[in-house]
Amino acid sequence: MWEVYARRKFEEPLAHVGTVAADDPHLATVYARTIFNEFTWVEMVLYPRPSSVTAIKT
Amino acid sequence: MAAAVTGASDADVLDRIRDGKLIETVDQMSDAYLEGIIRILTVSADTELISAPAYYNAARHAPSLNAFGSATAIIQDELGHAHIAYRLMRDLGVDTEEVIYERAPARFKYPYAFDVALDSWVELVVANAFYDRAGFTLLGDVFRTTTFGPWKRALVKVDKEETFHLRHGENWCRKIAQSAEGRDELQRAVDWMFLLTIEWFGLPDDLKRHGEQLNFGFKGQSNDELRQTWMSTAVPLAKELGLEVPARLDETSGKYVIDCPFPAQFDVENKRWLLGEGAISWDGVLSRWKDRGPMNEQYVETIQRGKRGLEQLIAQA
Repeated sequence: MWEVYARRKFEEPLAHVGTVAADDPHLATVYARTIFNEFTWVEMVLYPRPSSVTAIKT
Repeated sequence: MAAAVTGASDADVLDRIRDGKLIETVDQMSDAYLEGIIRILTVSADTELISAPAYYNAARHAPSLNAFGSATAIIQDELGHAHIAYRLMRDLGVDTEEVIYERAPARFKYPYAFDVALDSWVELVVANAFYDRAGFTLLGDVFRTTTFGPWKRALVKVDKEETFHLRHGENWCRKIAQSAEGRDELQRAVDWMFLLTIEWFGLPDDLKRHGEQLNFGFKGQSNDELRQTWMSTAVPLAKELGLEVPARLDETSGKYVIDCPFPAQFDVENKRWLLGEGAISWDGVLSRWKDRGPMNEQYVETIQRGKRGLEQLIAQA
């Protein structure tokens, strides 16, 4: 599972735009670029979900 | 349908909602909340998924390459929306591979309207104007009011794209309605598609089950309110296009009223309403929905056969 982050402008921070399920990073990249194509992003980054650490939860 | 193990009671869920917090994970859900959110997500995901083969069937009649490109862009959006909803279901413990690729066609939960073939470009653009408007009405309400955080955030993109789809439908309808022949063809499409979209919103409030949809805040408006919201823009559009629809605004109540027997018997083979036979009960409608319509098996087969084919290829390797 991959968390997808992207930004539209260089002055903006990356923001979470969704998730994709894929067995490897190459396929995850294709899925993310295809599914989350609602804007012309300047950057899109994928993180594997297992790498996330919860620091605060309410 | 298998699901994850919950970690809260109904009272915990309601307390959290009253505190203004969204429900984010399964451990914050009760069994009833989890079951309810999976049910509504399944309907949404199935509807987006099946709209793809339904629209593709009609997109093949596109009048130009540009038009075909727009239609396939819409189909790609719909598949993306389906992916998003199934992905959320997967986080809730649902085996989505089984749900998508192994479920029997009759067990898919999408509106009956999609079981009736869209056979022309005109019917496709009326579907964009009516069906995508219904999707926008329903999902716009979910976006504004749902208590399930991951879905609320995901719908920012979905609502934006559904707006594009219904504008696509409206613009093409305006273009087609410029000629008398075009208007006649639009009228023939509207004659069967209008009431099918009215049905889309489900049982009237006095017969509706699943009260948790409102209690748990999965959505904000009731079925009848959503039907009113849809008619408040669909009926004026029809009027602008010079088309007749069996609904009008009642000036006294300020609400739209349906001007024909409803619900009614539908002759699916000939795509026409048997209004002369009078109104039928909602039980009759539920029975038709349960039996599904003529395109159900073909559309589900279109979705499922790719995976089966790939598995066979891999098995032969």
